[in-house]
Amino acid sequence: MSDENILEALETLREADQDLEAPPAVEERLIRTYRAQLRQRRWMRAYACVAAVAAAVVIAVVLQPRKTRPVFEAPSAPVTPAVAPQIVPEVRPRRPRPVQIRRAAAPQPHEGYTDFYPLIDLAPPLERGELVRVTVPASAMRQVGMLVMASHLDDPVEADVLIGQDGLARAIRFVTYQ
Amino acid sequence: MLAWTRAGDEAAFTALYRQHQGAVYRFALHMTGSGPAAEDVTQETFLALLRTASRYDSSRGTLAAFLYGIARNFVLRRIAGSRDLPLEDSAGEDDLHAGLSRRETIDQVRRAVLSLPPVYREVVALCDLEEASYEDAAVALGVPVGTIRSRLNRARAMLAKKLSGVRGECHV
Repeated sequence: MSDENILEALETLREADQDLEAPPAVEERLIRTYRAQLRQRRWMRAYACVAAVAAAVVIAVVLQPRKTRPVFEAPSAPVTPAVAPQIVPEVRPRRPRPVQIRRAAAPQPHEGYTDFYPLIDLAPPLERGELVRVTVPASAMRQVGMLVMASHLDDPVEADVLIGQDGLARAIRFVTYQ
Repeated sequence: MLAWTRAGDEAAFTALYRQHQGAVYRFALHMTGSGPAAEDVTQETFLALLRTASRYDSSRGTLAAFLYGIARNFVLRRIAGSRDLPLEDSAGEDDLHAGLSRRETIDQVRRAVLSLPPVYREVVALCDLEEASYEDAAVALGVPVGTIRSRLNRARAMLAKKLSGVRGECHV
């Protein structure tokens, strides 16, 4: 058989098969898979944002250690001293106290709080915690499910972050002013 | 379109699939000789495209060549893992010499192609049956263009030998 005949034979096969396509079911399965992947990707992004907020909070805690306020401590057994401490009154000469002039404080808006929103799903038991006041973008409120207008996503908002005894940021609440 | 697909545009993915699925399906069909296997390879190829779209470099070849390359990997995996594909055993010499109508001629040519060793079958499937350029075939198969030419010549010679008995009766 010559090359020409072979090419003709292959051309015949090509023409016979040129309209063959994968069944529609393949396209349907692929579209379903594609949608599932998109959903998964969006969830991953959301988790990444929450993790980023939590990380930012932890960094803020490290950088602003003086703003901590203890709010919770596990009860511990009372400690009874074996010997009652002797209290020796210390006598100091009285000094005239300097006169302090206090200015009237500007009226502060009343501070309110939202509920606490968890930052991690599974965490070790909370034995001791500290509240840390931080400033975060308003988009952090959206990350925990609160409604925020798109035009205000970059606005700074104050929030209290509950840091456990292990240094993990457990929950966050946002400060509201009335 | 691939960039839009990666960005989450379902319409772009659908359009891309519809543009290329036929060629991928036919290539897989000509390589495996099995419709269900060709379906699976087509689906796996586009799933792999979703996973590895970032690896596609338009400066190295067309998207069609990229897809042929993915499909080829799945096809070879199936050929290596399956012994029930209609390869050499299914194309007996007696069949090739039988009297033929056009339909039968097509079947004989199809079986003759399937009886080729995979390295020759894939160049015939791409260059002769899908009319892919030598450059695209070279990218898809990962060999130089010169190798494509030599394999194609060799493959056609093998086909000529297999089909020599039906020359006079072929209506092609």
